[in-house]
Amino acid sequence: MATMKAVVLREPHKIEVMDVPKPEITDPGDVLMRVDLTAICGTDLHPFEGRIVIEDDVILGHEFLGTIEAVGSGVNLVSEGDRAVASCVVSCGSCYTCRRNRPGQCLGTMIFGLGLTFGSLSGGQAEYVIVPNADRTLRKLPEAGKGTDEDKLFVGDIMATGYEAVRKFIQPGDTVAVVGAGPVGLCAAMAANVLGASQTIVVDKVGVRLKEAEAIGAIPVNATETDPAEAVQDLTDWRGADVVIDAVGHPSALLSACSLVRSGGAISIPGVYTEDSIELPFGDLYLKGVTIAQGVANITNYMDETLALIGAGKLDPSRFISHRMPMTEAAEAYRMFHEHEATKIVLDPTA
Amino acid sequence: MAYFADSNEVDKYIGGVFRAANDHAESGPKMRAAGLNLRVLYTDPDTEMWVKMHEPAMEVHTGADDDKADITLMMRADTGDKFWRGDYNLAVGLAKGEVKAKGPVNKILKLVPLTKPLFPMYRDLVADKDAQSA
Repeated sequence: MATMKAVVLREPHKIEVMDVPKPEITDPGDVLMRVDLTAICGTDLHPFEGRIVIEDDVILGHEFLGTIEAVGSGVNLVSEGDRAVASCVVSCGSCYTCRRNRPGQCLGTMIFGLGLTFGSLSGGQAEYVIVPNADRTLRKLPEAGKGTDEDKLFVGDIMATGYEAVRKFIQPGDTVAVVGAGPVGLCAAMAANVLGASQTIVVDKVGVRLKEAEAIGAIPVNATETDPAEAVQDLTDWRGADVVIDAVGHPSALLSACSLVRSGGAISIPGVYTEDSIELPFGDLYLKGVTIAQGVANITNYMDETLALIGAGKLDPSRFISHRMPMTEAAEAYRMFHEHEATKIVLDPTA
Repeated sequence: MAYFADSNEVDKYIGGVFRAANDHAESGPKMRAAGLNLRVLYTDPDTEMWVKMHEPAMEVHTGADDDKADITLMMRADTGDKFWRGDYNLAVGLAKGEVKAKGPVNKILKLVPLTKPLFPMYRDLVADKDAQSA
């Protein structure tokens, strides 16, 4: 039996790079991809830390791109030898919610590397991965234009996620406030600039992340030094931000977002929540008429746009990569990411 | 032809794996800690199954119950059989409408991974039945 190397979560907090069986195509819609580049996402920390319970011995990873090695008989849009990037979320394309253009809420949502609950898809932190429903899930990498593989890698998750969070609500000239300068928050801030924000404000407590936000043209607000609500009010003639992004996924961040939004504005939540319930200032939100949107991102709806903007040189999310490591060092990479010693880590499966 | 002859067999085998789950070292304590009432409506044969996941012990029975279900699932009993054998992709089943679910998604998602360690127990339970029908 052919084998490959893969990053396996043996149990929470225990990562091993192991030899596992090389996957094979089992469905006509599958492709077998040789992974060229993969990344660790904040969502990977949920099972790593045990905050999302998955079974033991799952191959992790849902941000990856690579080269098509074999295609199922029902695949039409990619061929052997093509290079492509995968959406982290696999949707069926046919169910009630998919037909209403909400692939992130597909009744059969599958996510790479999140175990039985999300469709038992082995993840992309491996030398090879099976990509199901490939005509929907994959986008071929354009050969022309700007942008590197490391930029395009992120259209399958963090770039499309941050972009959608802003694009759902923004109007030209808006003030966009982003709570959380992690990878998704920084991608949202980058998207806000491209989508026509007059000013983009990024709130965080970590100086190095705020410096990165400032470097892409955002106004940094350090929440340990300044009251973010006061800062946003001062920057918006006491109105509040038109669009607020909660890119953290913690109740404290959502409360902060509620304090930043203007009357009639919107809070968009790409941050992941698994709490059964959260206390919110609902009377305030009601009286302000705030629109709230959240949920698993509709990645495939935005992959083409973000790839095009990367090709045009207007989005360059690879600048947020803090570490590049061989996949064999995945255990150390997870430790660093867990300990907030890294903003974004890319793994090389060939090393 | 349906795998289970009648609702007694659904109770014996699928109910049986839930009963055995109570004593499973890994999944049992987590299921009891969930504090949920799970109701599964199987068809072909029609069987209403209740799994009450509470301390100090899980209760499993078939037939109607006046209690309130936190989660209700509906599927063919054959689908339940395939799932417990580890041969059925629940996500695909939900997309196709072969499995329907009511109740908080968050709680359902937390229960699903607890079932995987029980698959070998189910296969052991149905081994004799499989041998008879082979």
